[in-house]
Amino acid sequence: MKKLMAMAMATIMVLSLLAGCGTNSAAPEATQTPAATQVPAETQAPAESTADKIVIGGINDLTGSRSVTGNAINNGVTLAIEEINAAGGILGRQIEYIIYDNKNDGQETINAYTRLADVDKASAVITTDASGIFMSLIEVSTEKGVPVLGMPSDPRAVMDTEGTGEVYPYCFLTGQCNAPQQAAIIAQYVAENTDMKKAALFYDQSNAYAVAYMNGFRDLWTSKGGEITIEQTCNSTDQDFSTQLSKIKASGAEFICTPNPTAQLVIMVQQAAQLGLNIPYVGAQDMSDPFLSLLDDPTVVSKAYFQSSVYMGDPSLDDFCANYEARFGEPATIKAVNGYDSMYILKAAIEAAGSDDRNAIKNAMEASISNLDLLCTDSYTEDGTTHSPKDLGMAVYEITDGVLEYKDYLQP
Amino acid sequence: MTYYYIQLIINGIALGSVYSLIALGFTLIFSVLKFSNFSHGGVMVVSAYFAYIVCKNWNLGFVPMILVTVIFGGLLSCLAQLIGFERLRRTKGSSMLFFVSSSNLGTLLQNIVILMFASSYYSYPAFFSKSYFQITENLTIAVTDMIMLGLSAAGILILMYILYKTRMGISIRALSMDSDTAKLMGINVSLVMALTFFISGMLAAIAGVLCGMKFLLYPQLKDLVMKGMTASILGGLGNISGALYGGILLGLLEVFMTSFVGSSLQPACTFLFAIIFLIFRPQGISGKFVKEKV
Repeated sequence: MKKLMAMAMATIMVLSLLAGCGTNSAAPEATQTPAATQVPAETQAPAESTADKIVIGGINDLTGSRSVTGNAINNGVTLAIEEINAAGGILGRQIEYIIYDNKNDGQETINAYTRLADVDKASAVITTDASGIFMSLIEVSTEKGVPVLGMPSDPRAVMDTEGTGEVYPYCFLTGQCNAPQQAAIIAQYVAENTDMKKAALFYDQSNAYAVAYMNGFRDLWTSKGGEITIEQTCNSTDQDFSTQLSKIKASGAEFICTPNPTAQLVIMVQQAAQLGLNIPYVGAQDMSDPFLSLLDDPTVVSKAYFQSSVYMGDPSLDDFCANYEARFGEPATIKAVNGYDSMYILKAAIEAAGSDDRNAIKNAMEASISNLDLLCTDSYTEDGTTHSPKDLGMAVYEITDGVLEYKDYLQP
Repeated sequence: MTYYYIQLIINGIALGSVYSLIALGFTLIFSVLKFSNFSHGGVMVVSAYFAYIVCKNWNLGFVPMILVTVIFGGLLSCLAQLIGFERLRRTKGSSMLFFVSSSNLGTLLQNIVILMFASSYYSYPAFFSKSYFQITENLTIAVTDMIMLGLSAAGILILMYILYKTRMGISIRALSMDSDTAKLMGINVSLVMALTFFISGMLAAIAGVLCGMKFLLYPQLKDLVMKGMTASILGGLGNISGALYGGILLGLLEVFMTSFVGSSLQPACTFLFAIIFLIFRPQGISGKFVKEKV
């Protein structure tokens, strides 16, 4: 009995370590659909077995404070790789996807990238949308030379905007435009299509995307003659925003501009309703699905405007959404679309390079990604001079009494 | 302006009731085993997701859902106790091992949720026709906050009754003083331990569901247990009624600090205040505290 208990405890401890520590993501897929057990088996293969495969690395937050977003991106990449492998792979070779959990930590991210570059011999890496985390890879990617694709919305993640103005050679923003461009799209739309003039800004000051977005919004809004009545901030771990909302209510603002993540948005909107603060919202793509479905009563959002790289209700995404849900047992989100698109951009780069050589892929990313048919657009082009999407617009949506409506497609 | 400060007080008490509810189950284990049980947060989050599955598949109302979930939370907590602490207790393991085991169990439970509900947020269906009450034109209070405050107060009264007026409560208190003597006196120590963890698990389940309703369902709900621990320290370590006072004090502190110094300085100022408070009153608000193993 004692031996049995000891074995049970040891098993639990090992499981705990596997689940919680920075290892690869074999477990998530394995637990979600039994049919997917091939993926974890592949992810654990040692480097010497990869000679006939193209190794793609993944670094995402699978168990940390941004695990919901990280898992969605990772699932999107995984689905794309499974489709590509089923269709014969790239250049006739199968893809091996090796994923590491960075737990939303910069040092863990650098460690994972170094391992992917030196031990796993990855040809390219697809990583997070967290700008701060992505930026931790700027130096090491220049040293190791493995291209990194991600969705960091802070322009400083791919370009030295405050210094030389040059791009970081191996860092690429894929699948969506950067935060100031997103803010400019929605600020221009609101200024030209509504009578609102007084804005309250409320953002997560620990979120690089939110800060970059707000800087862009503030500049364009004031240049259009708009007024900012109050600025309030919060932190990523905050759960109670009633104090900030009370101040906003007292400021006489006509709307709240808030680019905060979905979880904070839901809590904020419900607390605003409880405080009797019923004014429009202007937000980022976190206001798209599943935002409205998470509210007790979606009609508390009487009016809102936001921009999004895709609309999850678009019929052209039906197949993707159905496949995603069948594969992972959960509804797809925009982050999953971002991961999925990024993998197809990388596929196009490897095909254009004609090999899995890292520098050839980097050069192809700069010169050969044009007019791709992706989920976010049917004519995607990567700009080699900015390492960001070229002329990629965003759809603008309006929510009226909890009902979402497509309004326009605008470019920054 | 007066309304603004009254609303801040309401908000602070509402936030504090969340912390109190978490602190209550945390404190119960502390008062018996004298260690900080970080697996409490894990039981909270697993129970919250269990309630979501129950709601989704069985379409239950609020009360039946809570009843099913508290039983689940109690059983899960017993299982955690059996796996993580029973052997340590029997072998009189080092107090550090209790801490490590509880921390690992909490992480394990949270990661089970991450593995199962990885890539999206979830929320419960709306259980009530109104989500808040309008006290005056400028003052409101949320239904979930009122339920939390009521349940925290009721939980404390029930726990006090059990601990001081029932045979089981006497057994629990005897166990908290000296387990060997309690065993010699004929108390089934394993059974009493299991019952204590069952009650703690029930409280964790209620806290998990109500936090899921008040905030949102996501795996990091577990991290609220740290606020529960802070509340129990402010209230008086291991003191049942102190959990309520400590939670409300912490809630008020956070809300007023956010208002006066802003959200960036609020955590530092809140904990600075807490440190100063504990320098002058180390036994917490309630005036009594139990010595900790770790």
